[in-house]
Amino acid sequence: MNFLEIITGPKEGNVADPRIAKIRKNLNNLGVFFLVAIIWITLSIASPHFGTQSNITNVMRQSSLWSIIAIGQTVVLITAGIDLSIGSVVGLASCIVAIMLNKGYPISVSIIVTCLSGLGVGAIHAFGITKGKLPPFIMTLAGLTTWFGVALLLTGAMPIGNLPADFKAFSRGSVIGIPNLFWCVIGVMIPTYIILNHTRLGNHLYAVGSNRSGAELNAVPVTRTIFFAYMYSSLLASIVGILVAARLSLGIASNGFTWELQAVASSVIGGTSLFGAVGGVFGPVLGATILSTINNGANLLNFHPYWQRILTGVIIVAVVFFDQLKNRTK
Amino acid sequence: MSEILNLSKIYKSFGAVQALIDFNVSIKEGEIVGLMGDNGAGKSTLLKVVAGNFLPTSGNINFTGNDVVFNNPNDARKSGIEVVYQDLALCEHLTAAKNIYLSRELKKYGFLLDHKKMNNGSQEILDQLNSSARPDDLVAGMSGGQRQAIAIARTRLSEPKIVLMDEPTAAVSVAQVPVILKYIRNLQKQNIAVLLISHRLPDIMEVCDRIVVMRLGEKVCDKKKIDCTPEELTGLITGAIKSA
Repeated sequence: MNFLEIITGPKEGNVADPRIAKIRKNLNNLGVFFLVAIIWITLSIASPHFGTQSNITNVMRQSSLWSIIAIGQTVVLITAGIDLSIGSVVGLASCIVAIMLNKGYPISVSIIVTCLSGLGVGAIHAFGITKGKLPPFIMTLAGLTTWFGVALLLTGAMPIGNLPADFKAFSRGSVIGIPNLFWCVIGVMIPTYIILNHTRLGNHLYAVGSNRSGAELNAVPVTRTIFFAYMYSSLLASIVGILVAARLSLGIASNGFTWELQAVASSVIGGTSLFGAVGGVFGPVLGATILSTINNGANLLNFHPYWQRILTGVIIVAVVFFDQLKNRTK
Repeated sequence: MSEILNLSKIYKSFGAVQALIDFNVSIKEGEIVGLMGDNGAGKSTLLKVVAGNFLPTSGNINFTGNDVVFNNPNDARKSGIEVVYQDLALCEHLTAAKNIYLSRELKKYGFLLDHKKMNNGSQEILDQLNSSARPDDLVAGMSGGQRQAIAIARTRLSEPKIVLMDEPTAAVSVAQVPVILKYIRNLQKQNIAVLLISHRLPDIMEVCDRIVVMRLGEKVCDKKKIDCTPEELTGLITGAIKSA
């Protein structure tokens, strides 16, 4: 095995050794993992509170919500699309579940109806993109404002509180020391991993993102595949909306405000390509962990909140720049 | 040899553009028909009509004795029509095996991809094609010849009655042209018909039984190869000779 090839990739014109290609792929994920480790070690040294169990649990809770929507965003990005409506769908879902619980519907019914509404939102986006031939950016940008408006209309721009204790308890609980919210991330990661890597649908998602017209010529059901991607993304956003409502004890339209950007940032930091066909399940979770760690660390170190946003922007640019530099070199 | 494909009075228009005009052709079992014409003559449109990518505006397609309507490529495939597209229709980010089995993936336990079976099947087909491409390799890192082999390998997954090939020798090295022509002759030996679109006159003259020439959406020549000369074909393609 040529160790130089592991670092630099195959020489021009040569086909990569499959074993080396596999190692390189894992190294890409490891790179983000090491970045997380470096940030955690640095913050542990800089702040004695960072490494405490309560703070780590807090970081895990924060990153869990972004991880789930980032996984949904990744599925869409793999098809060479984008879902800018995620934040508004989170807010809308938190309002729907809160309204239903306030009206006395059982928790299970409220959750199922909220998830179904999320699937409906995704189907509308996919319909506009596949049948209306609208660019995903435009369709989901319209979704961003539309669903925020719908949530404001449903709630009269007021927060909906007074949620049942059983509903709130889940998001605050933990099992074997791991927050329930993080178990939710694992619950989303496993099926998504199987779908992306071991099913026909997953193969079609990558094929559509890689060469949509080529996929069509090869009888790939492109429309059905795109419907799945947007419905899955909106479903995960709805689940996060339910979890946010449970965690904050209220449904409000501004829940999830600008989280679509966190989802894109987490996904891109985790190695997903904005041009489609590149991405997986672990990257967005690591990306979300980096972003929530930066927020947490900045708070502990008394950084002004404005600097957190600037720092996040710098990291996104740096990660994507080095990724592109690596590809250009290859 | 019985007739396998018969196109009669096929018209295809895209808005005001008439891509196919009153096109008629029939192809017999195991026959290799060369389809020539200048850019924009309608060759690829014709191929896509037969392959189920486009519905004809009007006209009739008869395949193996039955009138058929192919609403999508899958309909055509199920009937026994395999295609090698000019741009190869490959997904660069997928492995060779996943490209070969695209939309015909092998499964285990009902829904999981059977990677091992697909890799083994791909390796077998690629070996038959004398290709150095490996099933696990991403197409993005492959040479033109290896890509062409992947596209051709797709036609080996079923037992086709006809294979439509759009410029299969255009993007390969000189050394690989004979391999592809040999593959076309092997298809004929298995009684599989081939519709070969090519700009390369030597390839057409070497393997085809019959040559059809198109110009501006119309058929201007349909003759046995032995009745054609390269000069006449060139004249028909350029329009110097109106019809033959």
